[in-house]
Amino acid sequence: METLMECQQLSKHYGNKIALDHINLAIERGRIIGLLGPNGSGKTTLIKLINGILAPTSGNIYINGHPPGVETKKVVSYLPERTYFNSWMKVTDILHFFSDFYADFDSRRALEMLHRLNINENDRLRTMSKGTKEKVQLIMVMSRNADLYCLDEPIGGVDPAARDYILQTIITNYRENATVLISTHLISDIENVLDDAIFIQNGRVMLTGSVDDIRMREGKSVDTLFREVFRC
Amino acid sequence: MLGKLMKYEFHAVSRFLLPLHLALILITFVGRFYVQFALDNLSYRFALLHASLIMFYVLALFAIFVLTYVYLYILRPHRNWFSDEGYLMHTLPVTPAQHIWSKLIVSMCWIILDMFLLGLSIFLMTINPEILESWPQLIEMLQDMIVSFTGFDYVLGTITYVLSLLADCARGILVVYMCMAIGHSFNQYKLLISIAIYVGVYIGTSLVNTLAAIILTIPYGGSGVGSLFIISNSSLGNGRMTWFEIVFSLVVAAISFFVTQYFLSKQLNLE
Repeated sequence: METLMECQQLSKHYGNKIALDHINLAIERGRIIGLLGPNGSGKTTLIKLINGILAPTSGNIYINGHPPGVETKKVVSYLPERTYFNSWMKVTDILHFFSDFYADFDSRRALEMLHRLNINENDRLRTMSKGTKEKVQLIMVMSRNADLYCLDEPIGGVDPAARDYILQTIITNYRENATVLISTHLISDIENVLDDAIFIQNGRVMLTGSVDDIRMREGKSVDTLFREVFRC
Repeated sequence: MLGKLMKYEFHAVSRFLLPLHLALILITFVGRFYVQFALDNLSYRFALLHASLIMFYVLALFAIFVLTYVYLYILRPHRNWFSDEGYLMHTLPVTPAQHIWSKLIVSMCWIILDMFLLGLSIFLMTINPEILESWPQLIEMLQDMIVSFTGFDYVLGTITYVLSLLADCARGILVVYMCMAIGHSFNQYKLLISIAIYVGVYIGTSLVNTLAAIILTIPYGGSGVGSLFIISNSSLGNGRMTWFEIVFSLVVAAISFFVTQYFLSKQLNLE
């Protein structure tokens, strides 16, 4: 299988605090991968490094053989934990924005998903609830035909019905040979959609492998294993 | 991509600046009619009203000027690059240099428009038949000022004066971007560090300008330190000073640009 993303001795320090500690990781195409770890384990730091909004302290990271930059941003679709659109923007403004900057953006697909949620193109973000704004953001991100989708805590802070919708949107909208990297600590909700899992704690990778292998080897669900590995 | 960035930048900043400057045009329009009424009713009983409205006009002009600068120099880049919007902007497939150029060009366009509208407003509020009659003398006075200030003839003097204003404007904007970018790379005391760097750069550039004013004008009959306080009669000295100011502003602007670019690409610290 072709390697999509590779980390080589990747480290990130914030002063004396070590956020990532010599991570070595290879992610292949066509997989849905859970980046699992407790709060403060380094999940968001790793995702930010992938997206070029943080620079490593040492080590290297490559996406499609390129370090994070303009070329990788064309093929990586990022959903951060926070809403990053201006509240005065209308949905149609956001659609035009994504169409203008991302050649792989499928505005027709985005509109279909928005209409299914009864969201009108002329609605402004400020008129929407927090959950609806997050869904709009997710729809925009998943409407790109990217090689790598990085979703940082996509189901945290939303109700169970919305979580199901988000997971369904993720599964039905990514390309077959693309990879989805989902960072979360809500394992039980996403375990059934994951192909692979990466356990991360204190900036170090504790465990990697396919979810099926983990279940067979450990004889327990990934959620149960997570609770044991990261017990307080 | 730069064109697209500029399109969205114009759209975003115009949401705030367009209504502000439409208000300026409205104030000028209404004010001009009031000025005519006031001139026709120069009575003691209206003195307080006239004085209050003049003060309101001056304050409005000052407020529009300050708001425009604060918004373009500080609020807009800070919100777009270093707040939650930064997660969108810095993951676009554009380079940090393109981000800086788009904001710089759009900001300079709006500042030029702002200066023009403010000047036009003052002109329209103060124009009267006496001023119109003495217009040729005023133009001559302006030409003499440009010649003595820049050290060149009127045409070259005007061109170099405009160039120095543009270079100074670009320098001002880029220095603020640089201070913000450096300050934001720290985990704590971001604002204090930004301000400290700005003060340091301001003191440094002022010192260099002062030294240049002394050194460049003395050989041409300038009065050394006195050149700081009076416009020298030496056109050669002033000419060299004018070119120095343009080049120095561009050098400081270029350094600020590259430092900002470095911090946006290597030291971005979005929380």
